[in-house]
Amino acid sequence: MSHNVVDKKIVEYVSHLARIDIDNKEKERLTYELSKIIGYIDKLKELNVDSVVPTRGGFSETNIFRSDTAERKDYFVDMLKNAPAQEDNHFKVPKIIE
Amino acid sequence: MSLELLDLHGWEISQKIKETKISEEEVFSFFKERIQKLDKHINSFVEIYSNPVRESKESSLCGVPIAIKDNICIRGKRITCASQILNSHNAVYDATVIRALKDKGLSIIGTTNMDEFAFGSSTENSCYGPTRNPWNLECVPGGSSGGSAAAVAARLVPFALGSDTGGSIRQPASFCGVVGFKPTYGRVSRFGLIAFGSSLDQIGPITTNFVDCAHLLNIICGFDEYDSTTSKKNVPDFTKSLIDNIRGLRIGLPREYFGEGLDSEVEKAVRETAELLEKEGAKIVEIALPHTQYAVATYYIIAPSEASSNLERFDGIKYGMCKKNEDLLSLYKNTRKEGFGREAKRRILIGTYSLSSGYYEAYYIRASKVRTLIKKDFEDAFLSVDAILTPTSPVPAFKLGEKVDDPLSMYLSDIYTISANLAGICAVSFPCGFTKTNLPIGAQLIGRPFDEETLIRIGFTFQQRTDYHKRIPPLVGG
Amino acid sequence: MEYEIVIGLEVHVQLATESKIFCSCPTDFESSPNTNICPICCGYPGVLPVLNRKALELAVRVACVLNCRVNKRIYFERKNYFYPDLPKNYQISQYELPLGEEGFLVLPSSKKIRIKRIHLEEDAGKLIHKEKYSLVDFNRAGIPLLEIVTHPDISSPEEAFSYLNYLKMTIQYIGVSSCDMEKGFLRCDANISVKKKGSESLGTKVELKNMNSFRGVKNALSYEAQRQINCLKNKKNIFQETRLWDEIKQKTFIMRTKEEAHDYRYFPEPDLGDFIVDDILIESQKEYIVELPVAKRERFIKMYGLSDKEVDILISDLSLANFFEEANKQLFQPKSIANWILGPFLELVNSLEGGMDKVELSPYNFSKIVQYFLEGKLNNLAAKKLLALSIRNNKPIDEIIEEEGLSQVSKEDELIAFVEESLKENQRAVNDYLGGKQQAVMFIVGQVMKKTRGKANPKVVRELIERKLKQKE
Repeated sequence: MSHNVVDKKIVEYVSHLARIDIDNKEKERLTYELSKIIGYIDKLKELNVDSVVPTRGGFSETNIFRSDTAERKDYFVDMLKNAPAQEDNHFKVPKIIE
Repeated sequence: MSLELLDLHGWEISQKIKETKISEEEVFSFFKERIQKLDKHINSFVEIYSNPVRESKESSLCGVPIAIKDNICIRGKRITCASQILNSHNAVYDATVIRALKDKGLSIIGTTNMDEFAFGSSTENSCYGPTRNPWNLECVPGGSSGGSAAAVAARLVPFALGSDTGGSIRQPASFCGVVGFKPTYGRVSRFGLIAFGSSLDQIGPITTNFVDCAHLLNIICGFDEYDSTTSKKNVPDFTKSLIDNIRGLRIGLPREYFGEGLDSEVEKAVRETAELLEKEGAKIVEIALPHTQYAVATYYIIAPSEASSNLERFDGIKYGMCKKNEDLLSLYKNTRKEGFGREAKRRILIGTYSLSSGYYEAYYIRASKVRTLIKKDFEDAFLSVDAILTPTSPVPAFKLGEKVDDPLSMYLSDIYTISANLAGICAVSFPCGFTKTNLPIGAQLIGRPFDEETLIRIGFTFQQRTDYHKRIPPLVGG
Repeated sequence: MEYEIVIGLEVHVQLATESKIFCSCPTDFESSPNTNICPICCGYPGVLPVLNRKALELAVRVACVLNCRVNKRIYFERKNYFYPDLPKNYQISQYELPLGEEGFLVLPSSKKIRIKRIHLEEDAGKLIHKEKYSLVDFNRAGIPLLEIVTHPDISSPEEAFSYLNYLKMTIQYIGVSSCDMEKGFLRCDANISVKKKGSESLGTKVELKNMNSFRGVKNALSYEAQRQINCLKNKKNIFQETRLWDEIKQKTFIMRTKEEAHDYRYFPEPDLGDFIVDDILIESQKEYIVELPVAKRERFIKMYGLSDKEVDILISDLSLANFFEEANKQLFQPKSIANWILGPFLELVNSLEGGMDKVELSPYNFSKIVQYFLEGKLNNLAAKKLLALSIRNNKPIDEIIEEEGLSQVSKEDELIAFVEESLKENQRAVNDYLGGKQQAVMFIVGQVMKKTRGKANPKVVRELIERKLKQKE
């Protein structure tokens, strides 16, 4: 019986970082599942990768630029309409407790 | 006359329209009625448009209906990634590929079902319920582009677009008996594709045959100034590769793909495919892709990491679902709790974990390094072969519910498709046989970066000599 | 002082581009809320960033002028955290490999402040806090920012002020940003600690935020330094924390909740490729590097014989400094020209919306005004009026003088009648003067000026009056 690679505390921490609320039942299930998955992923530790350069993305071109020309388009009309909460042409958010 | 449409592929339909043997409206109505009649069994569509979304009138495929996976933005249309959190989202702009389809006069008929945010290999993780495999309604169509693959297989639409991050076009194509092409990373713009794994995602065509596939690739490939990851490499006319000749081509069979876990019927069908290709003049060579066993682990760090970051934008503030709350933190946590399904949450948490302080080196960086090794495996292999032939999936379509509670087992079934995304190279699945229970079997061809042409040539040649791609599921009139 | 202050500054500068860093939305700050927005800068599903070439060029320019080592192959990273002004809930920034490293800025005091790093990133939107909720305006989201971080080389609040001033001027001089802190184009956070003089180990670092002006930064640092020194003296603990500056109360206070250490989960931005900063790009940006503020200051003091204070104002704006120099090329009268610029000219410029940008008057015509004043062709009032009339349109000076009749009247025979009239009408002033009150003559001069509607040469008038009055004695 393998011990949990990922324990409840880590699941709590990570779900807070990801801003997802999880109840206790979910926490249990996720701890078990994540533990199993990360346990499998630890397979990568078998390899010696010291001298290997990490791959950083899938792109093939460098120096892809846009020119500095400004265009005002009218997306904002639809975008403000899409806002779940809106006031005075601003997006509205509940109280930020600092 | 209408039923003849079932025997025609997309390009042939467009020819008939051009020859005024049939009108666009008739074609659209035909498929729309078919969807309305038959999709209740399959559940492949999310939205069906009463009127086609189309614009200009020119090109080789004009007037032909096409279905779009529910993660590609169509301006003014409801695009949800099969997720509650985007339930009320109407796209405010067209994806570049949609612009391309509109410019070439195709008719968009609707959006297709998928695993939520493309997280899955079975299209069971959808807020609209699962899509069923038209060959056997108790089986999954594969995922995450299951809706697109099922719709094309059931001839509800001549072709569709899907997206592929770890096999999401190819695997459902193989489960449904259709052709699913993942172009080289950078061939097709991702602007407007709701991102899952940014360094892995590509949009690609799902068709019944390689002719339509080549035509669609012609339309959607090309450098895009809105996508910094697209390639400036010249896009050839892929239809010029529709040649019935593979003499001298060297095709590799990687030994790691023919070992434990591979279903015997699948293996038989793929080996018979190799024999056919050899008869046509190709040279079959055994090759090695030594880091194959690490591909799933590598992918399931990199993809969820990128996804966890890409999905941070769904916060109930700018668009989509919003769970009203007294304070900001509760807004975030409850919206995302209610809005994301189980698999989405799992992936976000795995990804967040892999990137977090203390784990980043051991997981994300390490996986990025193994990715380099996997890429090199292919670079080495392509020194001695022109294409690689493998099964697309270790098993044919499994039963609904079979793997849904065992995520790791679901992940492991991606073993054959995942490496092509990690290496950024092109790959295609095409039907190469059927099981005893009449489930399709798919073979996969993997090609050099930007060498879609060789894969099309091999596939086309194969389809000149077989009729697997012409078979229609009995349920829908085959 | 038995304690030493150790300060590091982190400055964010908005780059003067027409469009945002990753999309083509305009960057003007005058637009109504949420009109300079598009799906890309607002993190809509499916969008992708594409880098504004000008933003990279301007960033390279700053890296060069600050003597940084420019990294030749750079990439961007995502900084992940949730906040409503951050549309994607991650910011595209740089971490491992910033654009420039290990540069420096030398202050007029000759103190060298080392620059640890400079990097490019996108700005966030603006939040307006109401009582029970907040409102977000994304106009600012996506504007290109340059982050400039110093080593903790600054040793006093005054030095911090000087650094900010010279950094601002330097960046302004090379055309990268107006650095107007009031408009939010430049923002500054500070790190400060204190230690016993001579001690090797640094004290506990406190982060200061919410300073809205250079003076605010100076005052915040002064207050905080004293607070920390008091803590040490009273053997109280200094905690590593973030404190906010209260401009009204002139104190720093701790942020209400203890800010947890952010786990930003930096990783390379997969939607952007690498950028090669080659020698051609670097050389092309070096061409914009003009004479810098410290050098200009030294030269002005030497060449024009002006005071430190006068020079400081002249060089604070490059277009003002250039105006001054051009005027002196026509008429080498640095002291007078400086007086006229620092006085009436600047007063007018500051009242113009857009400042120096809106000045149409050429340095040549300006020098002419000063010349006429010095020659006595115009009196003080007339010259000021002429300046006000020509600053927006640069009409030929002689034309305006003609039209407005601004020529000063200096001929005695033209003025004598007015003088005699005024003397007659102002017996009391005359008597006061004769009675010993010398200054009463100025009152009579004023009356003549009134009668001549400001055109009389006040010196000549005064002479005439005094001569007449002497005759009376």
